[in-house]
Amino acid sequence: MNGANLLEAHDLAVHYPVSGGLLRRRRWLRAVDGVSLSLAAGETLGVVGESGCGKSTLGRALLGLTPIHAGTVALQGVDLTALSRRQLRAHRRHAQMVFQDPLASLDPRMTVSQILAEPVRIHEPAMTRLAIRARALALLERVGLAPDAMDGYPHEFSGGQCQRIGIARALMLRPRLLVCDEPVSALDVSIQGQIVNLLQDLQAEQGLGLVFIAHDLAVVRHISHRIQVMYLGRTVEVGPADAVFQAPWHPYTRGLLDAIPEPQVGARREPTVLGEMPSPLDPPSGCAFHPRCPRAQARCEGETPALRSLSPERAVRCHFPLDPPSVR
Amino acid sequence: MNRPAPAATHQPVTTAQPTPLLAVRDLNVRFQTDSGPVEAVRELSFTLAQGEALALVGESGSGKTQTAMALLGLLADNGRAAGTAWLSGTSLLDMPEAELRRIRGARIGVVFQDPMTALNPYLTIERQMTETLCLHRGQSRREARGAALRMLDAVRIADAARRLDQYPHELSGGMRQRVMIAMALLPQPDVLILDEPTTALDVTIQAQILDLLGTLRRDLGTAMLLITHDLGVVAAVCDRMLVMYAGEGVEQGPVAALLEHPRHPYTQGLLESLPSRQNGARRLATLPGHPPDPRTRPSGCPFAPRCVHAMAICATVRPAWEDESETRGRRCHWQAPETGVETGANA
Repeated sequence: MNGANLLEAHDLAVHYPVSGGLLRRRRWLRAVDGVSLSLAAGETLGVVGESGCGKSTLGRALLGLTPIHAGTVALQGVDLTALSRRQLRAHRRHAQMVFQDPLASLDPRMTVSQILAEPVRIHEPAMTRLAIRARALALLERVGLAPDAMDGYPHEFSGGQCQRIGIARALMLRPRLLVCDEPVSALDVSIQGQIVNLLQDLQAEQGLGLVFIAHDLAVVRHISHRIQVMYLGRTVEVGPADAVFQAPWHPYTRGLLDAIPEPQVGARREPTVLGEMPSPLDPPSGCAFHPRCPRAQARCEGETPALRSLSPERAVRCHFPLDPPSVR
Repeated sequence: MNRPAPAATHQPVTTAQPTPLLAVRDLNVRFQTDSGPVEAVRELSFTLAQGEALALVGESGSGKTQTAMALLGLLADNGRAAGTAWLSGTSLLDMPEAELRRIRGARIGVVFQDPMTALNPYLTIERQMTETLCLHRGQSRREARGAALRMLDAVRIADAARRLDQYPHELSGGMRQRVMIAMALLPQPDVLILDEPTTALDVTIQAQILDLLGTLRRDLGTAMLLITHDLGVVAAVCDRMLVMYAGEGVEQGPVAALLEHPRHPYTQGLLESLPSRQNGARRLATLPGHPPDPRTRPSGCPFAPRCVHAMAICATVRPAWEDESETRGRRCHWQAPETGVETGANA
């Protein structure tokens, strides 16, 4: 593995064909359009953006769960796009997913012990029932559930408990990477913190790499080492979480941060990002953000900005980045 | 200190206004289910003054939505509401269905979380917006269209005339929610009930809608009852808040005072568990455990099993509501330090 990162994606593109319109023209929805990222073992990368920005599609592409149009994804140094279907299935065990809706992602007709055993039966057919059960019990305890949960069905558990089961299932194959797609958005605030803490503890113990996809910036900031902000299928800003949150360079990142309603009277700011996300089928010319950008100039409409590294750790896709960072 | 076991009826906390627009007293909502009765709301009391914005805040299962449903006469068939709810002289809870429906359209406006399910996909925006005006107010189609246009302008929908001829699916989520708000405000209701109005929206769109709600309050003076789980949304829109837990009101007061100096352990825990309030902490502070199953409610305080201040009495005796000052009250045995009670007068 020559010291490569746990996960490396290069110019990843996921395009979906969409037919329709008067002439039944075939068009392409560029859900993910040339995204690169890297993740080291034990690191958390937060992927943020609003609906339609492509963050969930990106998460699925990283696991080889959706056809990749162009680019490469290397997991532990192995390019998923070069593998046969069978090889891909075998290699995918090193990366698992945690979903948003914990109840919907668990088969309602299976007991927890069956749910936990299923991935192992597929990927480690030689493992005995007893060994599987022992691993399942240990993981259940680790995620904070009692052993008698093994015989329960998903509907008997609360949302937070279901998410613990979902995490235990994801860990049954001892993966190196967890892709968490909005793992706490369906949970109550008082439960969210429990799950975030659990993920952080598991990461510390097992050196897991985490891709944490979410729209809640406060949670993302807390859990992430680095942040990647997406807009209409592209990365618009990437950098260390604290630096990006303290002084964003991209006007969209700034707008996202300004839009969070703070639980504090008098903290409300005028919205800085106006209008709505354009259709990904018909993205604006130049910088895709320019119709909503408070700093847009003529150049932004005509010329697509490149993702530029302005410091070793940070990059931004903007002709006129916020630099020096304005004072909040 | 011992308090009587069945909580005594409490006087609702009132602000300076003499008669509140909406007065809810000892509201109980109970559902008959296969596994026995479930009490969704228990002895809830609050008032809403003219032009005021009150937030009902709580997590899932706290009873906040069922409170609104009871006021609107929209409880599911197996649900029953008891207690009283007065909307400036009209009793809402014992009103025939037909009359309640009329009030709902004209005097109480409603905006739900998901505008797509609340809008009829087969009717143009104009038809949906003007139906009430034509049916109940006897307005002509031309008059009603004019009113709808003005209201779409008020909620800052550009190109309003074109939007009137479109169908819901042709509008974005944010636009649909603006239409819902315009529709609810069109008959000039006394009260606007908003149930998680921005929860389904992206954060930049949410910011725009919150900004709009603030403007509408200022311009139209409509009283608002906002139901949400998001304390940031509360701070952006409301004057007062009532925190609910397991179907009960646990703390009430001016928003600024409650957010600065919460006095109920649940409110305190909720605020402490917000990631935005713990910058730099390696681990998030959390509330342990989870809310009680509504079918097996503890006999004492429902929050006691998760409460850091729980005492012996909390497990057995349900605390009564207590007004702690002109503007604040709570339901708790624990003697909270006195900070902040007095600072709440001016939100």
